[in-house]
Amino acid sequence: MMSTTYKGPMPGGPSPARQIGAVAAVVLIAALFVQAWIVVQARPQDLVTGAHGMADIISRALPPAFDQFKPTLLPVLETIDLAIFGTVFGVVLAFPLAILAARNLTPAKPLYYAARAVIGVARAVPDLVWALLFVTAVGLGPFPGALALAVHSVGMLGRLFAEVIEDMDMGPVEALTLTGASRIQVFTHAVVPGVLPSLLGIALYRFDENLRSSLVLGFVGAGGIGFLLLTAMNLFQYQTVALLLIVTFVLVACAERISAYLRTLVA
Amino acid sequence: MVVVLGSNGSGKSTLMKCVVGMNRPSAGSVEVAGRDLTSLSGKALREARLPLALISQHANLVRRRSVLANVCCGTLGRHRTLATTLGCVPREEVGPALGHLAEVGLAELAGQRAGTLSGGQAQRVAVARALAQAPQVLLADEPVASLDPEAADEVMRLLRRLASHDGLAVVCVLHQPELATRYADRLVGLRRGRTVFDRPAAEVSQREIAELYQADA
Repeated sequence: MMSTTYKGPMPGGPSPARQIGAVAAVVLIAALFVQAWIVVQARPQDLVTGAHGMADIISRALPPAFDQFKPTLLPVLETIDLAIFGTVFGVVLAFPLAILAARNLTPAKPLYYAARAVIGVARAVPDLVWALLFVTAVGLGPFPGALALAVHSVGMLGRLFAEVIEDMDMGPVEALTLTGASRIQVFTHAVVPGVLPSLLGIALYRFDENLRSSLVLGFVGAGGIGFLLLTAMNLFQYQTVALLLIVTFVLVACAERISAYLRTLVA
Repeated sequence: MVVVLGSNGSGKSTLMKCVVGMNRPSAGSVEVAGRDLTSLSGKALREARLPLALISQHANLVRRRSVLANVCCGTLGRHRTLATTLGCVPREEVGPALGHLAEVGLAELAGQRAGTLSGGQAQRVAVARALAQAPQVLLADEPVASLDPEAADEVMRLLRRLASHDGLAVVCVLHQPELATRYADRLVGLRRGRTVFDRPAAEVSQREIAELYQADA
């Protein structure tokens, strides 16, 4: 038998240094929360006194104005189309960017950094802000909303696509390269079949998110149900607001179910 | 059929990688049909090494495509049409590809997804893909290292048959001396990057093989 002496940390009980670290982490998180409480000017008592106001709004919102259902159909379609437009353009632009931004496939380092930068900016600016910018540029209506969703989607999809590509199995790529296939052939025969299902799943999920975003975009004048909701709120038509909330709920729930189902199909 | 033997780190895989141009040797040259691969790169390298097919420890099939499509992919080096560039397999190769599958004994699995195969089956499909490349030399880098003994034997028998019946030069890097002595015509022993022996298999003694694996004094 060989006897060895072991000087590293023992498994099981944490060392004193780690215990101090854990306590410090808890104190730090508590301090962060306290400052957040102060900065957001949290006043729980207002929730209690405000309960009366909320009850008032709810009573005025009932029953929902179901007779207003038909006029919501076109804005509903508009909302869905915003999501479709944003997702399709997002995917079309994000895919080539993601190839440049994936470390294992990028043709050149400068292109890699350029693509990462474009994706970073598109993602860092929220879609609502993009919508404000595009409303200023091309005027009110659904089009600026669609553009905003497309640009923000490029950022979100570009990064996720690049991650999928970086995580893929490079074995087949190597094998096909050695059979004498050209770079493009290797790409279409080994890379695309390898990553396509994941990319489709991500794109479907993005559609789902874009649909929810497009509801909010209406608030800044970019069309869809959001715009109706804003108008009804401003005119104190709470019964219409109630109907619109129901429509929104059904729409989002359906989109979630459908996109989840389609994702199981491509998996 | 040449089998290269050696312990871990003796340079077997490096040898294979140098031969196909994945690594550049620090000295020496690799000649294929009169052209030195080490001086080539890019397209010229791809074309010059077409007569060499390599199979490695992992079958490296495209898991979501059919077995048949995977075999057809071996022919891409000869087909540079728009259709193959866009991801279609060359139609005229489907027949020969089925033939190669029959050769490795898996014709009935042609339509199955490559991801559903067992390790031994996948490795035989990799051999079929290599055959589709129509090589003159078949290189195999530890082709049976991740297979159970029975599947390993099956793959080795297949390589042996390709060497003796189809006149293919097979160079195989192996870990297991018993497989090597059973299947090789010629044995090459590597130790710490140097050739220790290079002789017909029958003339290599067990002692010489055992010495390859001895720990360094």
